[in-house]
Amino acid sequence: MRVTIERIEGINTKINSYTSVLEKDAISAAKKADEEIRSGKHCGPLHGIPISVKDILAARGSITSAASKILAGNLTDYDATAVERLRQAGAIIIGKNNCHEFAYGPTAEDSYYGPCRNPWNTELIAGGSSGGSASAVAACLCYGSLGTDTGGSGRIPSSYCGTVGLKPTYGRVSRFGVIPLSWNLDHVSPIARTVEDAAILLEATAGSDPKDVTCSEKPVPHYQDALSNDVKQVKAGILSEYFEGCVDRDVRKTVEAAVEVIKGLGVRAEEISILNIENSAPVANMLIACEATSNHEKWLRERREDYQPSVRTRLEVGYFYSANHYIKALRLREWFRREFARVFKRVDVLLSPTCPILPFKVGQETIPIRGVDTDPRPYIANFVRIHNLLGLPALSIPCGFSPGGLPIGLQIAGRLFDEETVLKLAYAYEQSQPWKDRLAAI
Amino acid sequence: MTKETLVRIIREAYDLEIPDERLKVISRIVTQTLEALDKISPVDLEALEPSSTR
Repeated sequence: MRVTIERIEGINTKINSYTSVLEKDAISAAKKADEEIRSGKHCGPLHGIPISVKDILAARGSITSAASKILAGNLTDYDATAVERLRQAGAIIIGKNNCHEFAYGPTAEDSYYGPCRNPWNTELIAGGSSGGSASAVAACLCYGSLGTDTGGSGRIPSSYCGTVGLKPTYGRVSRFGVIPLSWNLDHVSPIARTVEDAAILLEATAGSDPKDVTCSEKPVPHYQDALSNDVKQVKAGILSEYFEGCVDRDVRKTVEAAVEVIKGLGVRAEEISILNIENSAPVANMLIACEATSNHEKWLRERREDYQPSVRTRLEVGYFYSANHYIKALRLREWFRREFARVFKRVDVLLSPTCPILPFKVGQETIPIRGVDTDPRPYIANFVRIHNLLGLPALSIPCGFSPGGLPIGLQIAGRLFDEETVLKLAYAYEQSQPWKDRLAAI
Repeated sequence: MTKETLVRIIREAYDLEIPDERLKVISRIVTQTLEALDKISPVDLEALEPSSTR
């Protein structure tokens, strides 16, 4: 534990992944865990393991600020259910991770505590909103983290930092104690260095919770049992529109190569085209905008000057949609749900790049996209939001590096509550490749 | 409803002054989102109930 804390002290100034380190509590919990393990009371793979938590999840004895000035003094005296379950599994909460303010942005640039930075190149964004979680895992400042994922917030930074980010099915993990952004799309999202670690974190946190009415009562499988190299029975769909919509050529090439590796593992793959999928992200955006503005209405009246400017603007967008727009988005979600149900009769998983572009410099206003200087931020989440909209499990796994040495993520999505198949394929792919052994030189 | 009317309603209802510079950004985001939703076709929306629960 001390080694991890010393590493945080040495490296956090470069990447800004922690808003607070719970040193005293963590050391004392580590001593207790040592004694328990020595006396034969070992309670599983997370016992004594330092895990960090995104700063929008309540953790007893910590400030839960959502990376905002508005909650900068919010000392919490209770645990979010997911955090409580981690502690029950023996994990030690080592600190709280920086993120995009109120988890409302895909870059983790706009935080009261300053921007999160990418451990592979500290001039670049870590991706967001759970940027601190992914960068902390990638820089070995913890062994896993709990982030959240409302519109890609766990998978985007995982793709950019070279970690495994798993957004489970809606309702799989309780959201009690998580500062809400969008009731319909918020998910708790484990972020880890390997697929097996992600499976362990999911199993520890999943399951019904009377404190969250949206939480499912379905039994929780033993996800580690699903991890195997035998994926010959898996049928994969290659989401054509998301390969064609890939802005960065290196991203596309790398993910296409990963698909070939997956075929080589014996997976049967076919191209899948889903009508209108390129317009699914705006449907999700509208739902998030309306729900986020509603969640923040009080503070938008009373504390509007205390928001980060870009987050305030995003929140104000929600005022400009009508109830009719919101209902239209819900109807379109139902339509996409039926389309995906049709697709999932043919295939077990869907493959795509996680992000269409590579991370860019913190604060960079434009990058050239198809020859035109363009704000890259609206592009980042184009391939991930559909899975929030439909509540489907989706995971980002490192699948290679750009010529400039930046990690690239492959997204694997599955049927509702079929995290096992997603994890199984991700594990088989991971085992066949060297990517998990390559660490950021920071 | 014109954009000016909508802005006036929002200003009065929410006591919210949005400077022109931010209003431009908001307007762009809202317009692009609504255009994207309109592009989704052919979808018979009236045949679909909004999905509110899972």
